[in-house]
Amino acid sequence: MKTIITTCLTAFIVLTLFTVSCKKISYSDVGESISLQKNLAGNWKLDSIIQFDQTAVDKGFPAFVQRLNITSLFPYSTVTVKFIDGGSGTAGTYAFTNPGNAPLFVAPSGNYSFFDNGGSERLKFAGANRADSIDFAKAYRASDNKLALRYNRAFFTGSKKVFVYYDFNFSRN
Amino acid sequence: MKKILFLITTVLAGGFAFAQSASVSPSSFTAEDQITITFDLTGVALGSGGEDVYIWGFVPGCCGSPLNDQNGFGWGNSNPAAKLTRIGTSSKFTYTLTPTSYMNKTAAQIGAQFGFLAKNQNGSRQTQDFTFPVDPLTFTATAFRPFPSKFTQDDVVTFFMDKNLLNASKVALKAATDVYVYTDIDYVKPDGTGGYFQVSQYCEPLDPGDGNFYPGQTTVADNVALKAKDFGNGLFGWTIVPSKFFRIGDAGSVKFPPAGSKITKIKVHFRTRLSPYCPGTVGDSGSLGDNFGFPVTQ
Repeated sequence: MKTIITTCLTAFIVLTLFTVSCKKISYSDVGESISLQKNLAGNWKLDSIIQFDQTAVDKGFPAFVQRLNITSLFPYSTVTVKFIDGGSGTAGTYAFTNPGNAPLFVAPSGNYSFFDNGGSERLKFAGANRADSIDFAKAYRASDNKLALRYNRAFFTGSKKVFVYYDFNFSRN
Repeated sequence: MKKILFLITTVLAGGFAFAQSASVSPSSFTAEDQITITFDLTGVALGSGGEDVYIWGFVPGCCGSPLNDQNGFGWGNSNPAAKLTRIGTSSKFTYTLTPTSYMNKTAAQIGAQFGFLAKNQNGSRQTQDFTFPVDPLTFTATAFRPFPSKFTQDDVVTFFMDKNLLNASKVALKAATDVYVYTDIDYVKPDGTGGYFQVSQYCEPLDPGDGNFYPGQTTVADNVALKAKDFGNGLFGWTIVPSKFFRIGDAGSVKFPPAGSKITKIKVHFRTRLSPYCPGTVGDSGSLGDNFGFPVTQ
C-alpha cells in the first residue's frame, strides 16, 4: 500500500512540475521607443503648470502643501512654445509666445540643446541674457503628443539642493 | 525519541539564553530625529574578546546606507565611520544617527521603517536584522502660510490665509467675502544699504503727503491687485512674483527698489477691503490678519 501511495505522489509531483515548467510565459508587447529629441520638435501649447514645494515633498506632507496648480493664477492659457530642430536632432532654436507675460523663468527665446546629466537627458535653454537647465518631468512616447518640462530652483551651497520646482505640461499644438 | 527532545530543548534554551537584542532611544522617532541605537550582545560571539562591532543600516525594501559600502568599504570590510561605541567593558554597543542623513534619503523616501544589524569588521559574524517603526512627520496647519515654504523673489509665491484657523476675535475678517492684503517689503540695495517699499497706502483716502507716496500709488481699497483669491472652504490666497510685484528695477519712481535689490522680508497683512483702523471706515479691531513677515531665500 505504501509503495502505491509513494508512486502516485511522485507521479503527481513530476506531472505538476512538467506542466508548470512547460507553460508558455506571455509578456506584454514592447511599446513604441521613446525619443526625447524626436518628440521635442514642433509647436506646443501649455496645458497646465504645477508648482511643487520640495521640502514638503521630502517630508511627506499632505498633497495640498506639496503642490499648487498655478495655471489659472497667471495668463498661462495663452502660452505656446515652438522648437525647431537645427538638423542634428540634439540642438536647435526655441521661442515662447507669452502674450499675457506669465512667469516662465527662462529666456523667452534662444537656442536649446540636449545634454547628458550623468544619467538623464536634460535641456539647456540659452537666451540673450540667461541660460537655464531644464529637466524632462516625464518621458512620453512621440505618439502621446505630450511634453512635460521641469524647471528647478535650487540652492548651490556645496551641492545642488532643489527647494521649488515647476512642471510645465504641454500638448502638441 | 528522548535524545531528539533533549536536543530540541537544548537548542531552544541556548537561543533564549544568548538572545541578541537592539533598542532605540527615543523609542518613538521620525526620520529627522537623532536616535541612539543600543545593541546588547551579551553571550554571543560577536563583539567578544574586544572585537570591534559595526552597524549595517538599511531601509527595508529600498536600500542600504551609503555608509555601508561607500569609498570602497563593504560587507567584507566595514567602514570605520560605522563602528559602534562599546559601553565600558560590557557587551553593549551604541551608535547615534539621524535616519535622513545616515541614509541620505528624505523622510518620504525612508517611509515607515528603518532597519539595521550589527556585524564584525569582515562580516563573518552578525546579528539578525532589527527593524523599527518610523513616525511620519506631521504638518501643522496654521492660519497663515506661504506656498512654497521657501522661495526666491523671482518665484511664484502664494500667501494663504485660512479663515477657519483665525482667532475668534477676528470677527470682521472671518465674515469678509472680499479679502485684501496690505503689503510692504524690506530690501537691500546693491550698495548694501537697506530700503523699504510700500505698494499701497493703508488708510483711505490717499495721502500724497505721506513719506512713502509715489505718483500713481493707491490705497489698498483701490488696488485690485491686492485682492486675495477665494480658494474655497475659507481659504484665501494672494499670489505674486515678488521681484515684479514690488517693482524692482522699475525706473518709474525713486520710491521703487533699484535694479539689483534683494528683498529680505515680505510683510503681508490680510484685511477687509476698507481699513479697519482708519477714520470713517468699517471693521473692528480684530479685522487685521496678524502682522508677520516672510523671509525670502537669496
